[in-house]
Amino acid sequence: MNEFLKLFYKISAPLTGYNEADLMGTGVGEQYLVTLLGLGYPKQGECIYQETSDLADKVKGYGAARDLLKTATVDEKLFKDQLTEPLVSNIISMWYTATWTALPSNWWTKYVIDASSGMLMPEHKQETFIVSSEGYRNGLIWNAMETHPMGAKQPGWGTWAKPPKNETL
Amino acid sequence: MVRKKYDVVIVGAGISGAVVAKSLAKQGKRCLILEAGLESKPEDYKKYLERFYTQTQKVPNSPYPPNPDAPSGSVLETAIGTKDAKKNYYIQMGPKPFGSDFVRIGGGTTLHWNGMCPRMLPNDFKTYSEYGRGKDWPIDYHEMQPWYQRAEREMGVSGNTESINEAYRKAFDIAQFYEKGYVYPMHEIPSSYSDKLMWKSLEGTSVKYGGREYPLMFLNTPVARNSYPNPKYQYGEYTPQGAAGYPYTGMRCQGNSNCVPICPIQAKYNALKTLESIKMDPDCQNLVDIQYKSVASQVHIDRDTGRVSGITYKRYFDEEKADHVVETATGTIFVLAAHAIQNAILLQASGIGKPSQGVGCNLMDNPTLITWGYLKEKVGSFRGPTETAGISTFQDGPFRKDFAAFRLAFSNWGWQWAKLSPYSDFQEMQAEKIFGKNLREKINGSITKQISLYYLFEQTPTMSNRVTIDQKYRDQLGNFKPVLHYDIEDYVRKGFAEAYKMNSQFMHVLNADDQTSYPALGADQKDFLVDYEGGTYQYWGAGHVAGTHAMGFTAKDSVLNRDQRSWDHENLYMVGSGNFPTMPTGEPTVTITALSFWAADTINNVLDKE
Repeated sequence: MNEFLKLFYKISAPLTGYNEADLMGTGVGEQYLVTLLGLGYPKQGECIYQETSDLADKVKGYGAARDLLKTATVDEKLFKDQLTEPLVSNIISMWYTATWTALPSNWWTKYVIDASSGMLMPEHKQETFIVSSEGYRNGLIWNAMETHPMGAKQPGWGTWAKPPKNETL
Repeated sequence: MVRKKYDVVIVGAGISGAVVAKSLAKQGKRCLILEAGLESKPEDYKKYLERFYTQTQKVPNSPYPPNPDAPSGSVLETAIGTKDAKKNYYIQMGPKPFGSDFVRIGGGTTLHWNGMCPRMLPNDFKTYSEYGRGKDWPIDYHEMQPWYQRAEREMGVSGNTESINEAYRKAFDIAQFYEKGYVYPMHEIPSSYSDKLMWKSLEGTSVKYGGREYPLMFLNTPVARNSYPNPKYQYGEYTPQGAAGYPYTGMRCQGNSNCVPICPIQAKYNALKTLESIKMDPDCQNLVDIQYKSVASQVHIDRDTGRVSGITYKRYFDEEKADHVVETATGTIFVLAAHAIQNAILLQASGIGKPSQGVGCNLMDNPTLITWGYLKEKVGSFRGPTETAGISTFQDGPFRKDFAAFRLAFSNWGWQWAKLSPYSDFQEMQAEKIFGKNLREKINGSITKQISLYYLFEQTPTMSNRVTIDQKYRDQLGNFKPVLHYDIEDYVRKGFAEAYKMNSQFMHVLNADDQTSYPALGADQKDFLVDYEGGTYQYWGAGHVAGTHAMGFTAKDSVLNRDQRSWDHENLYMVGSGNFPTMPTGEPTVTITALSFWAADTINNVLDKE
């Protein structure tokens, strides 16, 4: 397994409340990692993931995504730091709902455009998007809700008439 | 280019158009359907599902690709004013927004309907005579019964006629609601665990109004979702219809919890099944031509005879581009089945009908009041079909003199409709920086306890609620966009106020933690707030668009006669809920379908005479 991916599962477990085996079982971790490394531009993330791009060293924002993976402790601090907060929030929302939320524009100004290289604001508009249909179908939120993703993984005829897990009528 | 001579030219390949074509072809008549949107092929349906998964806003139209040559109404285009008139299809003139959409595509809006199939009640056909409200229909329940049966067979309805018969006898004093010995083709879809949980608390509760007690009546709702065939069905063994193009898929509901906006397996009826059955039937297949990408733009009237001589349409090739050719379809009889809003546009664009007849007017919906809260225990929310049961008590009764009737439906999907749950809940937790085990536990301890009550109100005809056209607002093919004028009348507002009072009683009996607060999703929804005697309520559109070319008793004040034929043009018919003189509390589609079968038989008889 790629070193980045190992680290990604490691940091994702305490962020999501699911263990690494649960996360690997979804089959979509790599897509989320690539999206994170590319800060919402999966193609860019793919380059960094393959380590064929030195972008991450030149631009602080990209470096931050990579450095985040090496964080030893996952705690509230990550949510208080303006550099890491949108990244950890996105890691969680990808795992739960497959959603990447556009990074705030001031984040880009601060950490990417003004970086020493002076380069690289990807040309397209920052967007909020669903990473993939596999991601949607494997969102953890449905598991946390004791149900299946709406419109996928059909539980079968009549299941809705039965009590949810651990409950009796 | 259409060259054949047709007996009947139909505008629209949704449920009404498909039913009319199928019924006429069965009787040997040659039909052309002009469909504005793209064809929905079986392989396209899979793409709709994929598209749904990856849309951030999972609104009813989200699975279906936008089509600039035949745009659709959208629940995302509800801001009042013309600021976004270039971009939007709906031009909302207010004073209140019209919150319901539709989709222009093969199969029409049945691609994202909910499937509920309650028949109208006998009194729904005569609210004016009974209660001095709304209008009477020029037809009655008794006449509709055989047509309801045909509709219920075509759509494949699951339900329990026995329990409904008994409940209606008690509550509405209807001796025999269904025909003697009649059962639906399939047994009822099981009520959800949360339905049963809520009814366990609510059973025995009565509401007092006007010196009368209204005991609550719980009913499993008849619905066009596949269940088990009922061997007692009197018209022979019934086989559930699977997905169009994949007939062995979807023969039972599998609890995908996604009726709206797309049932992945088509266990819920959609008009693609009727279109498919035309294609598969050796008697029909050569008699029905469906021409997609053909947007009807004008109905031509022969000045001497007053008859329709043809329908001009714009046929495009690539929905992204404005290139098109203009062609005219001819036939003996013409049927507008394009949806209440599109029919209204086409009529006005063609100069057909007078405003005094109500062309484009009396736009109605089932304005829906929604409330929500938590139960103390897990209810198994977000499982099963959108809705399986509800309370029918207030669908009819003497209170209708004072306030609008409603059907109360229990949500099986927590706060999904009102609050866009579970996404909004999740976003709130993210804003609070909750993560890890705490996040997982918070989701598990809250969203699983969500309940929501939908109060779907009847609406009465109001001339000022209308769809108009304006030279200024056109789509890329140059066709008119709908300009919408809408408000909620006091009759319904009083209904909101009364239902809200009842809701407090229900929430109390349920021992629920009522979380209702309007506007549900913040200031963007403030236009959906309505006031009544000191209270403020929010309504939602139910997607049940009606009334814009209603049937009536005279040519002076209605567009169609009881045969669903234009008073002014003898070979022009209209079908769909645009024909409804009033919008009753029950969902309209089964009534639309019944009326479409009736219209087809009338047309067939006329053709046979000619």
